[in-house]
Amino acid sequence: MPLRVIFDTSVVLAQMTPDPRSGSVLWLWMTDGAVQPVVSDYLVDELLRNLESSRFRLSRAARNAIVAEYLQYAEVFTNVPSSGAMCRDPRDVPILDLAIWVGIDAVVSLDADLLDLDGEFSFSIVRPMGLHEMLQRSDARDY
Amino acid sequence: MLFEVNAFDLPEWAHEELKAQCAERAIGVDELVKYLVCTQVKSLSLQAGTQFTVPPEMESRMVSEGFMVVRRSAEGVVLTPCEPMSFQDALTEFQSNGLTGEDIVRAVDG
Repeated sequence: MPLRVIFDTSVVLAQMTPDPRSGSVLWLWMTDGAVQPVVSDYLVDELLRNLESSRFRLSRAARNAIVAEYLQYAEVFTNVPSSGAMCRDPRDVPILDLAIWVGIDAVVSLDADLLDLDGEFSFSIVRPMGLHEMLQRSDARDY
Repeated sequence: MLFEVNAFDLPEWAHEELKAQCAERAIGVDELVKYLVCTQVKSLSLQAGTQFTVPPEMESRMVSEGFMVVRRSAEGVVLTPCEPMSFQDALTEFQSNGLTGEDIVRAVDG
């Protein structure tokens, strides 16, 4: 069974760089079926908005190829109810709402506002390396 | 961009097949023809893009972003990019911006 994971948008995009420190292992995990991303309409909007940003200089075809590649592995939810969860950065609350409503294994983020909340919920909040360790522990795959 | 097509004659089998495909996918003839044109016409070769499923509430948003409907079912709406590009080509375009992972995290998380 794949681990069901919510990826912060910055993690999804940072994992597409050739930087060896942040590689593209996330995308391999999805392709291999080791993890299944869980997303909401809020997160899809955030991904689309960021990819449209001029800093990435992407054609529409490239943007949509990235979105399609990501969403083909994802479970997509809408109308996520408010959980009442709080976070220092209110922009991160929709991630917590989705995680609590759907019931997932982990939130993967590089954002201290989210990472500081690890241990407060039934799911883990970890960096990509933390997810790597979870995958090893789960013995689901030979990583 | 709107593309106008005059009525044209189709073999009966193709007419029946179009109707059957539309019924099976629960989409209109215009949506099916758009899908067929976008996936088949370029270089006269099969270039269907990656498909994914979203809840019906997201359909209009995604169509406005350049995706098209392939199929509707109880599981949701299946979409694909109107202009197919391989993920590898998209990745190359993304990486050509020269940003590091840290740059991206700073830019996205602000």
